[in-house]
Amino acid sequence: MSGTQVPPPGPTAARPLPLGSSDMLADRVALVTGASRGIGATIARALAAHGATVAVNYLSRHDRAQEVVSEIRAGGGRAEAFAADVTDAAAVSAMAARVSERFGPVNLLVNNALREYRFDPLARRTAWDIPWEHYERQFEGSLGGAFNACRAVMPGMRDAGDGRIVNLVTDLIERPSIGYHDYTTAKAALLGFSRNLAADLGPFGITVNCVAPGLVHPTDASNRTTDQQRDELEVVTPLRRLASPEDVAGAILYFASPWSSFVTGACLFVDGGLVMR
Amino acid sequence: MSSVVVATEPTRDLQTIDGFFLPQLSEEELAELDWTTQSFAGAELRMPVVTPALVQVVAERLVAAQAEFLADRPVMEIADVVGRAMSRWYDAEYAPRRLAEALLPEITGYAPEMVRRGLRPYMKTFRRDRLLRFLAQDFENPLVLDGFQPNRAGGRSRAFGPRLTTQIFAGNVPGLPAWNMICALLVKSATLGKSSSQEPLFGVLVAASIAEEDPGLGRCLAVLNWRGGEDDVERAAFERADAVTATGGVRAVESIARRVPVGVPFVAYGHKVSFGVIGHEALALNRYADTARRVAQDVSQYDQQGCLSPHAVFVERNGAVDPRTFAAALAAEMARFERDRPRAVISLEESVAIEDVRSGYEFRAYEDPDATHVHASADGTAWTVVYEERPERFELSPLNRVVRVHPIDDIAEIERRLAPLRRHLQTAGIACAPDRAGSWADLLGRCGVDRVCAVGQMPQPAAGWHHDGRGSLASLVRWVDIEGAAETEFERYDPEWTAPRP
Repeated sequence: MSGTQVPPPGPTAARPLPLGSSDMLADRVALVTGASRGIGATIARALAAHGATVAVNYLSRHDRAQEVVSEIRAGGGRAEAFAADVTDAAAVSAMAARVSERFGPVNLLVNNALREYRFDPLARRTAWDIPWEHYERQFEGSLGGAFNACRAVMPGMRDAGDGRIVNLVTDLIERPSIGYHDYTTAKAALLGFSRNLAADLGPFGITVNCVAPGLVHPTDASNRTTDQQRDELEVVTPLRRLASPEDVAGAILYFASPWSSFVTGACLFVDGGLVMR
Repeated sequence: MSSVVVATEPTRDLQTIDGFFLPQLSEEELAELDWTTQSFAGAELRMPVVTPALVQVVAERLVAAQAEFLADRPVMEIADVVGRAMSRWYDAEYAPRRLAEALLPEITGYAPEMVRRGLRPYMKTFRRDRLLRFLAQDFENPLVLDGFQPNRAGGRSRAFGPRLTTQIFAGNVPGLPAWNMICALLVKSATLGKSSSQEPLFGVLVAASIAEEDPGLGRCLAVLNWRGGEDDVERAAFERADAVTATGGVRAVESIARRVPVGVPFVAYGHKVSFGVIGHEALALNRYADTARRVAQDVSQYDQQGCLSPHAVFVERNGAVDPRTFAAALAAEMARFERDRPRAVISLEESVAIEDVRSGYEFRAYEDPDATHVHASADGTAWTVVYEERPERFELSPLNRVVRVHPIDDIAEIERRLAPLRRHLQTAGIACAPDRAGSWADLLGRCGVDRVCAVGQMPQPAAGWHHDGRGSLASLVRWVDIEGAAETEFERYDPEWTAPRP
C-alpha cells in the first residue's frame, strides 16, 4: 500500500462483467431506453456483450450515452446513441426509424426510462399530501414512455413474426417498503399494460415480460437512501444484499435469449427473495 | 461504474494538499524549508523535509503554545472546543470529511465505501458528551486536571499532563491519530505528531479542524512526517517531550522504546491480537445469520489490519446451527462484504501467505474432510474462512480477511489455547446471553484480554476505553499530591496564630 500503487478505483469498477459474453443475441437489434446511466447503461453493455446491436437511447446526457457506446465499441460490440424523449410519441417514432435505417428493425425493446424521480425516503410525498399531478407525471413517464416505444417497434416485430419486449417495473408493486405512491402506481399500471400486450402480441411470436428489481445500489436513483435503510433492507432479504445493476441485466438477458422463448406475460422479481411470487 | 472512472480519470487534476500541520511557523519560515511530495492516485501531499533543527524549533514553540493556550484552560472548555470541532465532521458536506472520504481510499487502498462507513461512527467517538466519558473513565473528578481536588487519602491531588507529548501515529487504520491527539489535549498536552507514511493525511485534517475552531488550541498541535527510525530527528523529537506515545508494530515500537530518554514516560500501543467467541444463543435459528453478518463485518472492516480485528472465532457446539454451518454462513457474508467493499490490492508476499494457509488446510481437508473445511473466494485471495475442528494451537491470521472458525464445547477450552498469546491479547467480541457475559468476561480478562465487546462492534471501541488496558488519559498524567497530614500541619502557620497583632 505504498504511494506508487494504484488502488482499485471503486467497488464496481475494474471488475470483469459478471454476466459473461457470447454471440447468443447476434440477431438482435436492441433499443434500450434511458440507457445513458445506471441500470439502463448496464443493460446496454450486457446485451452488447452477448452479441446484440444496441441503440442507446438517452434524454439529455449525450456525454454519458456516448461513454456507454464507446465502451461497447471498445469491447468489439455494435452500438450507437439516439436522443429522444420517450414521452414524445413523434420523437420516439422518428428514433425507431433512425435505428431501423442504421441497424435494421428493432426486435428487442427494453423499456427502462422513467420520469425524473427523487427517491428520497425521508422527503417523499405521503398519501395525504401527494397531488394527482404527480401520478400523472409518472403515468406519462413509465406507462406513456413504454406505450410510445412499443407502438413504434410493434409493426416491425409483427412483420418479422418475432420480437422481445421487456419492461422494467419494481418490486414495490408487491411490497411497498417505502411509499413512493406515484412511481409505484405507474409501474403497477405498466405491469397490467405488459400483460395485455403479451396476450395481444403472442399470436405474432412477440413476447412481453417484466423485470421487477428491488432497491438497486449503487445508482443515482438510490443514493439518497441512508446506509441504515439499506442495511435494514439487506437483513430482511433472504439473499441478504441489495440488487446490483448486473443482477437486473441478468434477468433482461434471460428474457432476451432463446431460453425464454415460451415465456410471456411474466414478471420476474429480482430482489433477493424479498418478494416471492 | 467503470465507464465513469474511465472518463474522469485522465481529466482529473492532481490536487496538491498539505500533508503537514505547522501553524507555529510563519509563511516566510515555511518558504525557507526544503519540500518533498508523496504522490497517490488522486493527489499529491506536500511535506517539509524534516531535520533535527526543524523539530527543535517546532518543539520549542509547541511548549510555548502549551503554556499560553492550554496549561490554564479549564478542561471542560477544552472538551467543548474539541467537541465542537469534531461535530463539524458529522456534516457529510464538511470539506475535510469529503477530502478524507475521497483521498483515504486512494492512499490506503481501502474500499471507498468501507472508509466512508468506518469514519462516520468513529468520529462520533469524540462528540462532546463522549469526551466527558474519556475524562470520567480515567478521573473520578476530572477537575483534578484544573487544580488540586480532595482525594481519598485525606489530602488533595492534581494531575498534570505532559507539556509536550511526542506521538508516533499508526497508519494501518484511518482515524487513529484523532484518538491520540484528542487524549493529549484533554490532559492539556501539546502534541508533536509523526504521521505514518502509509496514511499521512488524517492527523493533519483533524488538527486543522481543531485549529479552525480554536486557533490557540491549534497552535498546540503539529504533524510532521519523517521516516521512522531517523535517529537524529527522533532524538530531537523526544528531547523536549514530557511523554512519548507510539502506535505500531512490534519492531517499530521496540525501536522507539530504545531511543526514548530514560525518565520520559513511554506509552506503547504495540502488536495486539483479537478474536471472537460465539455462544449457542447467538446461533438460534432467528439469530445465526445476523451473527454471521456481524462477525464478517468485524473481520472485513479495514481488511483486518486493525489490532481490533479478529484472527479467529470460537463457536459453541450446542446451538441450533452447528459451528460448521455457521462457518458456511460466515463465508457467505464475507463474500457479500467483498461485493460492496472489496479488499485492497495486496502485495505478492501477502497473497502468497494467504495461499499457503489455504493450501495447508485444503490438504488437511482432503485427509479428514469432517474436521477441516476451507471456504474461499472464487478468484483470488479476497476472503478465506477456515473451519478447523481441532487446532493444535492458536494460529495468527495472515490478515487481509482470513479467519478461522473453531468449535468449542465450553469457553473454558480457549484459556489454554490462548495462553501463549497472553501478553498480546486485546479485544474479544462476544455473543451470548446476558447472564453468561459476566463469567465470560472474567475468564477472558484472566486470559489477558482488555476489551470485551459485542460481535459487530469490534472495530469501534467505545469512548474512554482503557486502550490496551491502560487509561488513555491516565497513562499520560503525573500526579501531584498534597498530603492530608501536611494540610493539618499548615494550620499551625495560619497568620492568625503566627502574625504579630497590629
